[in-house]
Amino acid sequence: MIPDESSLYLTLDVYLPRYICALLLGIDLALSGFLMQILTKNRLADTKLMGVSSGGLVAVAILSSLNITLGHALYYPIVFIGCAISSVLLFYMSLKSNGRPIFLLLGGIGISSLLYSLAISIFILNHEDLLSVYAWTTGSLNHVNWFHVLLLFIVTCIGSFLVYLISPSLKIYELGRNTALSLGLAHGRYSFYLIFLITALVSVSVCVAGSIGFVGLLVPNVARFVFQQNYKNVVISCIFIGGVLLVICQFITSFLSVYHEIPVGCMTAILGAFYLLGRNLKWAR
Amino acid sequence: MGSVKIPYFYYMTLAFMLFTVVILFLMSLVLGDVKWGSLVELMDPEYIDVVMEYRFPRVLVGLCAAINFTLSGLLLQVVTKNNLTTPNIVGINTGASFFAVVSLLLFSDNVMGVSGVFSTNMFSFMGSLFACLLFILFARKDFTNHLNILNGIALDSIFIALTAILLLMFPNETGSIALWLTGSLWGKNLQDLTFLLPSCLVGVLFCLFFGQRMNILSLSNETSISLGIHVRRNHFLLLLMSCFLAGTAVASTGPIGFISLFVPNVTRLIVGENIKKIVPFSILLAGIIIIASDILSRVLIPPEEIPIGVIVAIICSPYLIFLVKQR
Repeated sequence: MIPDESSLYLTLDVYLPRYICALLLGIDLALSGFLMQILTKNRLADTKLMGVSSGGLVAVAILSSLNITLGHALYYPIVFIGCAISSVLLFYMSLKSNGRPIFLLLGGIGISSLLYSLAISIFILNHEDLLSVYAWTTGSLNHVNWFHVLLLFIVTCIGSFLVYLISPSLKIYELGRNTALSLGLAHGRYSFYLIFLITALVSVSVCVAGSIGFVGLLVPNVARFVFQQNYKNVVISCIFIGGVLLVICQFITSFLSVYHEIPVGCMTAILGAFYLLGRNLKWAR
Repeated sequence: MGSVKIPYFYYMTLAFMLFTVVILFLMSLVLGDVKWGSLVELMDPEYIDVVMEYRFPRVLVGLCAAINFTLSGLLLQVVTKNNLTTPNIVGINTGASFFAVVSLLLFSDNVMGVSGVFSTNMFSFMGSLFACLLFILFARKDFTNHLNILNGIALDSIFIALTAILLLMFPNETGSIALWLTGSLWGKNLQDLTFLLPSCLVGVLFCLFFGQRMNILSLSNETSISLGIHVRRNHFLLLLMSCFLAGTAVASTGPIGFISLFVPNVTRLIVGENIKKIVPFSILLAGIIIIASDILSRVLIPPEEIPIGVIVAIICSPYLIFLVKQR
């Protein structure tokens, strides 16, 4: 049986890019969440929950009000700058909040809702359709094409290779500034690397799919539960689990969206939130 | 027990704030896209129409909703003995808005007018109760633990995701709901006040009369029992009231979240821990913030209107960042 042209088009140009993007984005978000957790010394860090991707949203809102689309050469760098501002802010907050992860999380929520509100108000002044903005900020893969796949592929490959390279010394970094320095690790420069990698990974995910939450919280915690302190293996398993998880979520959402497209971010948020609830129940016991 | 004498200076501050609220209220009636040049034009019936039909209801709706959110947050904080538990962080607001969206989808065609307002109010009250119940179940008696906030954040994001799924599954029926979900006063009329105004009055009177009792309840449970207060019954009453206030406010304006965290905590920083002093001060502070942001939302870029929830979030959410630096 020869497939007719329209179904071939659907498979090759609509569905296939979505699943490849889901795979790459899962890797992206899981790794950036893991690095975020190392950087802020907080097991509950997540790039959406703490507002790194909201910085990117503001940048995208400004760009769309200037009519600059993804093809433009400056698009990715400007989103990168937006994400970098909020991740630097988070890093300084984590220095101030010694040992109180929940207050850091609340501060992150403060940053994220501040930036999110800014982005929404720019979108509204720009007469965008609120419902599609809403879908996009939840994190949706329903509009991706092969150009998105290419961009995502390049950044994810380079990024995950770099993360793998620095993974052995993450354990030393986590011990704190003084210990790390005495063990011969340039702590300040290393923080800079981490922020750079997080920002690169998150900003490409914002460019492609808006802000998908909770993958960066869920996957690294599962991986660390299995491999504990062996961060090399944690990074590798983050790559696998993250990719597979987001592909499964995308499959479920496409299964649910019969008449209208539902964003994949809803699924990951529900999964991650259930994980958080279950984890707290265990602590309380 | 003898009540603590409240200093004269406090009453002066209250009077000053009341004065500010009144001035802002009048300003919000006058400022806007439709302007007046001279005093004669002020008496123009068309102008009076604009003021009475559009501006007066929306300022009043905003004011009542802000007071509701603030008092709801305050009550919740007294019950959980934790200053960070507020309806927006714990998921009560989003639970209410999820149920309100459900009711709008169910009854959008056949029920209009006051009965439509009634069903939205009932559903969002039920939603806030449901979310509050879940929060209590996961908290397992120990309210004061900061870890409960995490459960609240998780519940919050579940409700947000469910609302998004509903909205995007039925995009044709949910046209203006996306605007409502950011917290907006656009197109509010006197009909929206039918439930909001009474609930606001009930809430204010409740908090004013129960001030002393709430003071006792914010001590440890053993102390309040020995002072002759049935702790569980009172907690139940306060929680019910808190959900009622948050639910009715969400039904009319959508979740204007951060005001319920910001106002009670800032009031605590200024006037101290005495709830009797906190209640009037926080009501007036909420009024000032909401009317000022309503004016901002209309005046910043005249023909356009930024949703008030967005402005309030921009004003109030930096408090959370400030919280990290504290001690």
